Amino acid sequence: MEEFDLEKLTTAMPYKAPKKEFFENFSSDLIQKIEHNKRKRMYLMRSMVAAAVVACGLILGVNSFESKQQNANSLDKFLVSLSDEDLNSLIADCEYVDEFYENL
Amino acid sequence: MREDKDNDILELIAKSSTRMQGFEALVIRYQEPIYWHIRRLVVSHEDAQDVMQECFINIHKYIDKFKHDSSLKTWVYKIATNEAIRHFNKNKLDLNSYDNKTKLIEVFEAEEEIDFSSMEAKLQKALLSLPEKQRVTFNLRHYEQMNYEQIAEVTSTSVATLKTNYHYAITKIKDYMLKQL
Repeated sequence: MEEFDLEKLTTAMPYKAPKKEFFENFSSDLIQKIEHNKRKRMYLMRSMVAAAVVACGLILGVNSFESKQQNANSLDKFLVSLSDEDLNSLIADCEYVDEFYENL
Repeated sequence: MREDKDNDILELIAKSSTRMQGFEALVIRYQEPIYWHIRRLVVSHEDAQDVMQECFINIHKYIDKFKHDSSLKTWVYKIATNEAIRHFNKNKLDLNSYDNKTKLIEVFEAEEEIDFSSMEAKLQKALLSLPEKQRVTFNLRHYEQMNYEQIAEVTSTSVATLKTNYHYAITKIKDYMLKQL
């Protein structure tokens, strides 16, 4: 009967290792993604400022009520398109992330 | 891993002029051990890659919350473990259910270039049949060479509970392995 020794067995891995380039490129790809996300956030912030200006316009009656209604409808459509299970899972994931990183 | 190297990294991150340089050093230092830690939990390379990316993005986002009351290593492992568990939650994989543990074993069996007759492969299957907390505890203790105090920091669990988890894990692994021999 073949004996097993946990200490010895955990020094080796049965999985096929990723290619060397995976680790060589990971940090630069990641930093590029973070920088890209930063730019996206800045763009989003600018868009939010622009949206706020439009919203002011809407309040002042400069823009049409229809376009405001259209935006609300798209969000409604998206939320309605989700099943109860998907919606609950989306909410649960957001709550899990918030709770974990708040208490980190 | 040397802690003074971690301190050098944290010093670089603390200064805004060298923040990205420090973060890159952190990624290079931890990417390989973190990849394997995640891979052992989620099994497939593709999932490990996604979870690892999410893990380092969150490390970058929350690094200012690191309070020095734990080591950088256990803090990084804490985020990695959490992201792996979040991956299971998002994919509705409750690893305490028998069916879902079987699913992970199926993913493992679909992996290429594994000698399934090897003892290492049999051990992996035994580990994949464990509940989530027992598996995490075993992996951190054996593959990452962490002591109970460090595992407690990673998993936010008491040392007493960890010892119980570890004891159950070892008993189940031995039973499983003996059946395979």
